[in-house]
Amino acid sequence: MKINFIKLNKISMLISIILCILSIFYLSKNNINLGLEFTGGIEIELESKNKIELNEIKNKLNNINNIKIKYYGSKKNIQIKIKNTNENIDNIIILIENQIPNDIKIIRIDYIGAEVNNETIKNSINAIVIAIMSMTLYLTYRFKYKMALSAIITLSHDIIIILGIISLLKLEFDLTTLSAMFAVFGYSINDTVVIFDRIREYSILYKGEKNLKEIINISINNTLSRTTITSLSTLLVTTILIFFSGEYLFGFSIILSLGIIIGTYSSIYISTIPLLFLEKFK
Amino acid sequence: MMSIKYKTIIITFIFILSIIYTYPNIHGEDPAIIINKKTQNIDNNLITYINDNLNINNIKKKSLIKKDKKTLIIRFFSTEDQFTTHEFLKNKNDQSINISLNILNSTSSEFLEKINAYPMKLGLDLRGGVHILIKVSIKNNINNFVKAKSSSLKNELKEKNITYQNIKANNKKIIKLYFNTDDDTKNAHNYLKSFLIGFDVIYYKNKKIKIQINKKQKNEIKKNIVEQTIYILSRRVNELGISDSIIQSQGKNKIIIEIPGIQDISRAKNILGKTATLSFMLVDTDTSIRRALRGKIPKQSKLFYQKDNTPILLKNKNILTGDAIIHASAGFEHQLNKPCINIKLGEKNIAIFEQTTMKNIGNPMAIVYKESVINNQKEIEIKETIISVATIMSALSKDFQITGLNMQESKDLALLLRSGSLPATISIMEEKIVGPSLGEKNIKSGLTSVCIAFIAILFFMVLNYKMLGLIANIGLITNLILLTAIMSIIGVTLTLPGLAGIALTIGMSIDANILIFERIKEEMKKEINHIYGIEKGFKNAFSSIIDSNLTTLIIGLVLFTLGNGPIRGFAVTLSIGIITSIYSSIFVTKTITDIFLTKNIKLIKNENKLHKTK
Repeated sequence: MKINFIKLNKISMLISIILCILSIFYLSKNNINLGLEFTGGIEIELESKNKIELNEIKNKLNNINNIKIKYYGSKKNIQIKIKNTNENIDNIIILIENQIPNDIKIIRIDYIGAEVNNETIKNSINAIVIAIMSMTLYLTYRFKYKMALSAIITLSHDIIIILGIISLLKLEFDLTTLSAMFAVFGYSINDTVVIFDRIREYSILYKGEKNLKEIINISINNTLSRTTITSLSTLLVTTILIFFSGEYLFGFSIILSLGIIIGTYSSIYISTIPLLFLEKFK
Repeated sequence: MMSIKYKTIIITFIFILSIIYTYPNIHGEDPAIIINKKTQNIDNNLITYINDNLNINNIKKKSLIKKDKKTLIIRFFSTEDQFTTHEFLKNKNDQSINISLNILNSTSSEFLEKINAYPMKLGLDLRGGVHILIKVSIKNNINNFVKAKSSSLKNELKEKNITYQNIKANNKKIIKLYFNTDDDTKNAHNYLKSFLIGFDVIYYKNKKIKIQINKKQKNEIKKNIVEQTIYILSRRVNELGISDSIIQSQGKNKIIIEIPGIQDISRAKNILGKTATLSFMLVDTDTSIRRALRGKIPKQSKLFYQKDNTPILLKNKNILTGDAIIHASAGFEHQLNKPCINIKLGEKNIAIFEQTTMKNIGNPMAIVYKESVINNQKEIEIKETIISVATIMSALSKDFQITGLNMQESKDLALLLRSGSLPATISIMEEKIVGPSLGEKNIKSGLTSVCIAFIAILFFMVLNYKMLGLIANIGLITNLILLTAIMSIIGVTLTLPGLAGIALTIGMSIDANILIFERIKEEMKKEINHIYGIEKGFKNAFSSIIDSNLTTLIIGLVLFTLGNGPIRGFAVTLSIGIITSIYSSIFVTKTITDIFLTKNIKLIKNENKLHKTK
């Protein structure tokens, strides 16, 4: 079975452009729901043996500024979030402890002061920039710079779409989500590299016999089963994580799963488009 | 090329080694309580008391072992049980025992300990506990240093016979020196240039010199203060009976405190962060309170308010401060029937204190509790409260008692006095508290995910690749065991994201095998000789495996060096996972395949069938 991927280039490009535009649209409309680590504030998880009446709690605590209360995982757990607060954490805890019924217990408290988050933002941006730079360097060393550039373009495409999904689903963007994104970077590059590796191999093997378009097509086709099987095996794991790893890793697992789907799609359909384009200007 | 025999030996060796280092993790750690009898030996009464109370509270203990004559170790199944037990033991108020909360390795075999095989430490999200990031405010200490320097400069210049007009420190870390003549200025400048340490001359003109504290000196002060703070915090944590805590510096002026499973968090926090000390002051009996209230306070006195808000005038001179106290313990004053703090003074300070109190027999003395706190404007504020005012009945010496606080307050203050006062004010920047029940829930869901993922992948591989899949699964098992072993050896703290990282490694590590097997299938279409086909498949997949794994490894390493918190735990597992999976897929799977190929023809037949059906 051979699929002519080059022929599909225009369609996949169209799909990707639409996806990117939609992502940017949602990003500008919804923004990204930044997590506590980036905004500073207080997050408290409460647990009860019985079902918690959310509205009752909301009414009791509505005098606290910026407070957000929601069920967390089940109806027996709720999460209280107070972002951008200058209140003293201990006062807030005492206030909450006094207001909630006795059968509800605080099982987790996260407090992040206003000074920490700037550092976190700085570190995260550094991490992203350095990761992308070092990957570009490595790829340029191992492959031609055009391939490296194409891989990075593909990666940027993935990042935009993932960020779009995060803002569409209103997932919280915290350090855990960020590490999921990094794992997806790795995965997506990994997939692209396998295909490029094959292109490199066939470029030598079929030198003079076949043109780049044909080489790309054979390469994608011959690695296709590997790409899909690996994606399936990894997706299997991330889906298991969605269902079994608990509320805390929910966003993490969702991003991993969607990221793998996007990463797989982009390495099969998108990664070679910039390569073909760049090769035109020899 | 290495022969198969040697490869098998190496693989078996590594496998056995990794099983040994993984083994302690199977049993993990137990929450435990260690009871130490101070003087006598442990008697059966105590053991019966514990057993009875365990039964009353419906707690199942894992074990109760008399380690030696004075030590008793109780192990539990859950931290909640550990806490309840700690609570009733504490309420027993038995002064003859020390109780400490611990987390102990479940399997303590001498052999395993000798080779450093311990279970992985669990992160706070998995075992419950407190993580606090505090910032040490050093501003005050630097100001004090500059002030001290400015007064010592006066002496230094006097010694050198250099006359100065004035030397004063302003609060911007600068000392200004004014002189009468140009000669003096020049001499002073020369002196400063060669002997001044920690300061730089920033201005020298017109009979005026300005010096400023330099970066090196500031950093040294910072380092010292942070070290001292860590030392005192550790003492406080030990005093609270918590072992297994981590207190370490982060960056220049931050300290991380991690305490696994502590039940009374607010008390611990209160005690850790307190910069409290005592001060003993004489009451000014010469001036009437009324005059003082009208604002006519003598220079050497200061107006205070007592607990019941009655004003009192104190002579503004400490006759004794908290630093002089070498030991303090909470106790009970039987005559007054009140809780008290027993104070013991250091040799150095006894004489002066004895003299002062002797001179003032019959006069009242106040004990002032001083605490510096950081207010909403982020400034340091000193709160002073009067604990008690009492008439000096006799000359006070080495040991004496103070009353005026309730039992809990006495206990806390005694602890603070014992541990010494913090050298700087600290503020909490970040605080994470995970309840023990949540920790248990997290570890359960994390482990469940890893197990299900593992089993799912095993099935997935067999379904897809039959016999070769089985070989890949052997590789996967070695991979998982090796990963756990390496994490245990290098002492990785396991967190929930870390567990997710392990699960993800399982899913992704199989990729190398998939690459190889798909390549083998491809080669099989061209090759007639299957052994050669398999060989070629491995060989050709090699560069893909290296390239794709190295890019992921780069990401893992960047994450590790730059990230903190949850990112770090994930990055560690991911990075180690990549390395172990390269080993297991390239080395282990390949060798096992080779063994099958040379000895067992069945694999080839299977392969043949697999080839034909596809």
